[in-house]
Amino acid sequence: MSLVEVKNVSFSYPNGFVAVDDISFSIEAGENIAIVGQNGAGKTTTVKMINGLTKPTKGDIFVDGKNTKEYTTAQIAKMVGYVFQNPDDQIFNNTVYKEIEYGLKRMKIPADERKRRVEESAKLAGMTEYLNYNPYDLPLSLRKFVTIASVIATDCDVMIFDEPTAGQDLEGLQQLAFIIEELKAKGKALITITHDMEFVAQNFERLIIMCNKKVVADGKTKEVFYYEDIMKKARLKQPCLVEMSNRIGAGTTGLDLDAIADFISKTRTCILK
Amino acid sequence: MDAIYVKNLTYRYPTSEKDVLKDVSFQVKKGEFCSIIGANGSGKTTLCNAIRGFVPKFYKGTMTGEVYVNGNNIEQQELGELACSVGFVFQNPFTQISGVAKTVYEELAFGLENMGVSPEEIKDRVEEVLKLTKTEEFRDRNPYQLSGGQQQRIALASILIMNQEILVIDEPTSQLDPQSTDDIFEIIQLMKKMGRTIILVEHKMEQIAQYSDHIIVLDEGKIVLEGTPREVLTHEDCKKYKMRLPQCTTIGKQLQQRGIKLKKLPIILDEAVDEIKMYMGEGREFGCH
Amino acid sequence: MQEEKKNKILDLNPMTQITMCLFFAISTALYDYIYTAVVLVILFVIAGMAGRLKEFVQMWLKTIVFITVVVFIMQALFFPGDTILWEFFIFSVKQEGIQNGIVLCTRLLGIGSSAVLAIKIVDVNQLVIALEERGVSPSATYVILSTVNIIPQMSKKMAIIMDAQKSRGIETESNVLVRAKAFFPTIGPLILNSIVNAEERTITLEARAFSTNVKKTRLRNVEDTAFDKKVRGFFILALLIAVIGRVIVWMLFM
Repeated sequence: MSLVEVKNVSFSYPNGFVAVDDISFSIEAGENIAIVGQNGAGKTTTVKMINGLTKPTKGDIFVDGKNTKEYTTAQIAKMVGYVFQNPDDQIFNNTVYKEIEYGLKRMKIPADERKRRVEESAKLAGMTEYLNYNPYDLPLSLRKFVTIASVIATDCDVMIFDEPTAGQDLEGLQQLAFIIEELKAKGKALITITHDMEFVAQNFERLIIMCNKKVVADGKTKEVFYYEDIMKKARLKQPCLVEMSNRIGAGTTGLDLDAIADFISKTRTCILK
Repeated sequence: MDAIYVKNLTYRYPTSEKDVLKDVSFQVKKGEFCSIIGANGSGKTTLCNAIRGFVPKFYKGTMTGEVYVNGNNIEQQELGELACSVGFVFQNPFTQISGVAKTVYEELAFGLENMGVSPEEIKDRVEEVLKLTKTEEFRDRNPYQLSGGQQQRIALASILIMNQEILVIDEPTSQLDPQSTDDIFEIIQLMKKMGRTIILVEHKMEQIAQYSDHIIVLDEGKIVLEGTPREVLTHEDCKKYKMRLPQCTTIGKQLQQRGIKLKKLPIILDEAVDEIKMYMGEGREFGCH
Repeated sequence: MQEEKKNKILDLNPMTQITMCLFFAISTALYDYIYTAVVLVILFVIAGMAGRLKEFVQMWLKTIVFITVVVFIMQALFFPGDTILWEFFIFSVKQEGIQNGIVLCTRLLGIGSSAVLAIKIVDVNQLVIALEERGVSPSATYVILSTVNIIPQMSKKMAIIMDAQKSRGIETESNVLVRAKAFFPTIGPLILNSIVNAEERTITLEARAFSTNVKKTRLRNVEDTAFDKKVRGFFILALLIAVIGRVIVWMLFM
């Protein structure tokens, strides 16, 4: 069985409004997955169900073999960490250190181990120099990294980042790319919701597109981005590289710049002959 | 006359230990679309606040230098007065809802009511702006019931309606999805077409490259680069200041490294496609003739 | 603007509605429970005329009736007295307690029910305009209006924060003790959020020219009809009579 199994899951509100309609996929350890789609496509509801915050109204979700319906959110949280879209919904301690440590205290982890984990996750999230700061003295884009560090510190197997790219500058994006790589190396499964297609093209191996409450594509990023019809239907822009490669007639180039460069040189020389 | 003229502006928040803006000087012509870019913490938002007079009037702190809006030194103006000459939109859609209106219609009217515009004129202008910004469908909805993207459109519309000549727009799309981002840029373009002077802070370089007339790059409170999008985005110092570049510019650079000698570095996608086609086509010319 | 159906009660000027509710509230405090019972019936009739009977009764039961019952029981059991009517275990119901409870609960019912009626029939937006027309400053009316509008948003925000903390492993679904531990992590972000939001909302108001010195216009005017004036006059007069009547009765029995 996979680390996360989403089996024919639907979610509808008591008033009948459907937020997610019959989706299925599974996630293995060490996988990093981007979920993209317009607001209202069902992305956040989907990840909330994986975290156990909402339970499917149809179908089942298994995390590490455990059905989320049979556990409280706090219990699932030990396996699935969730970084909310707005860091201000989570932060309440007066130093970055205490904020990262808080979840560990609740998990009754011994003090020396706590210290080690706080320092390690702060380093990973680029927060080391801010550990003694009040989180509210940091800009919003850095507060996001505070919440990311607190989730990394819990060392759960599955992590969910909800729009970590929003409002980030180049340095922030590079930090995120670094985190994604390190989590993969540690064998964590990472699910990221984002609107930044270029960032997805550069950092994620697997891509899930959601549109109108359904999963409309799920596969390798370097393939899925070339599904023009699906991208259009989901009202998403293809990454620059993909659109460029289509428009110069290079076709499906697997997000590989060398392949495009090759095509350009070949086309030029072949006409030259 | 320049719409905005900032001269030797240095500013420090009451709580900060160092200057957030350091000797900043620049001009923005009337009707110009000027983008301010730079890393987080480089002073972009503070600069916006200074143009609108919130710095130092609202945030206090110490300021030296001058800011002129339409030729008037804003130090000598009341914040309330400035509201009628400089429009201001910021990042968080939720807090830009006034909280007094039950419908989008009333939300749009709120600014004009405060300016003392006659009810007849308010009604006409609300109708006009609802149409212009394509927000008619929300007319009777409660602004709080709208999505973030829709709220941000209403926030822009609520400012557009006040007819200020200058609009300061600070990261309007950073919390929005691609569709809503396009909607917002449609409204910003509309504002430009109406002849407004626009100061925009954004991270989305594709849009900046496409729409700006003028780009200012801030780094640690100083202006380090300034010019047309082409001048700034193809400048060799971009890397030094850790600037995000349009994706096609990055790709253009990478292609050049792979021996594909594009005549000029593209800053928008159409240009990149043309450049590459031209590069490939040059071969055709040589081969066919 | 959306046309609301004509309604004798809802169309009244908010000041008239408030005067009316004030009259009921004050007069019930002056007279005994029989009078209050009559007023209660009148309040129900007015709520019915306004088409808000269901909402009125729901809120009335949940708040006023509930509090009244609790207060009455407390009074009956714990008010000091000698005339014991009924006894069980360590509790005893005393006559003095009952009497005191009746007086207190009558006041509570009268004043509370009038307040509930006011909440259900007065449109806050209209009230604010009416207040401004009477010279109350826009800053004061803004506070009233935005508070009323923002409260539902706060509870929505609270739900999001609860979710955010649950997902960090903080139990909020268990017994009272466990829930109490979750209090700070949930209330903390709510307060911090509110502070950040308050600053941004001030900026929003500035951006919308709220602090200009120009005389503001209002898109909607609140009508103050001749009928309104008559109704208000009637209730003010009635209130005067009620007060005077009470004083006379009081002096006669001195």
